[in-house]
Amino acid sequence: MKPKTWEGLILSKTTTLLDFELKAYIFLSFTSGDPCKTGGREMIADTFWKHRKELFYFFLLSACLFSKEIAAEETPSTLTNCDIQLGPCTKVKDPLTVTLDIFPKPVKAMKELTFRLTFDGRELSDNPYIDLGMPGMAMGPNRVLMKRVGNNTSRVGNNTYEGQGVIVRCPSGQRTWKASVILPDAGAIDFVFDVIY
Amino acid sequence: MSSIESLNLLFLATGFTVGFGHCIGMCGPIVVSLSLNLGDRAVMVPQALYNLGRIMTYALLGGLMGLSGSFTVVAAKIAGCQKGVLILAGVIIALLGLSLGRWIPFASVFPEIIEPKGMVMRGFRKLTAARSVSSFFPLGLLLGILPCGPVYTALLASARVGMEAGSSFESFVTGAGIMFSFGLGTIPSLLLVGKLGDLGWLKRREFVYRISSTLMIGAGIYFVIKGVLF
Repeated sequence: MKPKTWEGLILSKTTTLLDFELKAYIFLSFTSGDPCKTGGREMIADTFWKHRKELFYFFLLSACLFSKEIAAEETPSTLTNCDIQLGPCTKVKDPLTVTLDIFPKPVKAMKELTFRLTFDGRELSDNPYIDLGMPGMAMGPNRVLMKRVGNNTSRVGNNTYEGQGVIVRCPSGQRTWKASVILPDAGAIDFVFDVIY
Repeated sequence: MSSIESLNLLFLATGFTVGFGHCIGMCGPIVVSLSLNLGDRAVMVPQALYNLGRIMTYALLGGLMGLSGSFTVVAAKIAGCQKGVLILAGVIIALLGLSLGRWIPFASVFPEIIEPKGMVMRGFRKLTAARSVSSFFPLGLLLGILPCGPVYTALLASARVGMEAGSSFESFVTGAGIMFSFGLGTIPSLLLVGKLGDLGWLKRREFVYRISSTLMIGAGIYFVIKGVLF
């Protein structure tokens, strides 16, 4: 994934560097005693080996200092499967067709939002709900309870539900959020989209 | 078990689980910096005081959320303050890093013979020179306001339960209770990270101090950038 901002680029480089150092350390750990045969490499390997405890600490500390950013790198915006800013998104979970819309537009974090679900195909046995979270990052339970607001009597099984909720802001800068629509008798459908901070 | 008790337990568990992922990323640099800055002194009591201060702020924010019943109203009011604290936390971490690496002695930042003027400067000096145990509690109180996704989620729940409570007092208490439970859950992870900066064999190595201080300066700058962009 190509980072979108200079800040993302720095984080990406840091992650790559840490990853390289970690691999080098693991390699040296497993090849203790005679890690490399050639002179220059041997010298580098000796230095690594000599300072192995310090390097281990360096990795641990780096992980503590930058773990959130490293974790955030695992959630690229390419994971999105819905452009909620443009309009409603539709997914099929046989026999249901589920449409999610969020408004007002643009969909911003830290604002009161209305979530609307429209189902087509059959009646639901109970009210659905939406669990909001970020892909790959635990954000705590944030559930939007949905209530039926009407149905289209001209078509069997067309139901509309609405609920109020807030998408919170993640200071890591990650904007990709996931709305898991939970259907009591049919499982879950994930809508992944970008919000505006 | 009542629904409020269930919610408290849910957020206690949430705090515990997100603590080992999210909170270490946000508060990890701070607690490691504080531990390293304590030198040879024990870290557990200062770290416990820091965490106590932090969850007291959480509880107060939760109470306010419960009282108002509106997450967005209170969140909007504290956003500016959070931006400032984020920048301040970055500056503190970077300064502690510079001090730890002996690139700058604290004396040159705030010479002992010069008494900083004004409450803010005095407070800043006290906080950055966080070597006395008593300074860790106010530091926790201040940094408890740092913006964080899971904290926002818990505050959202506080506002919701506050809205459903029967009286203003009940709204405040239930909101505060959820945030207190959440904060309590995050303590084990942060104490563990704080302890990481207190490994005896590491503290005796100059090389480690240099590496740690470089990382702290980097983390501090990163916090400042985050604060400016927030």
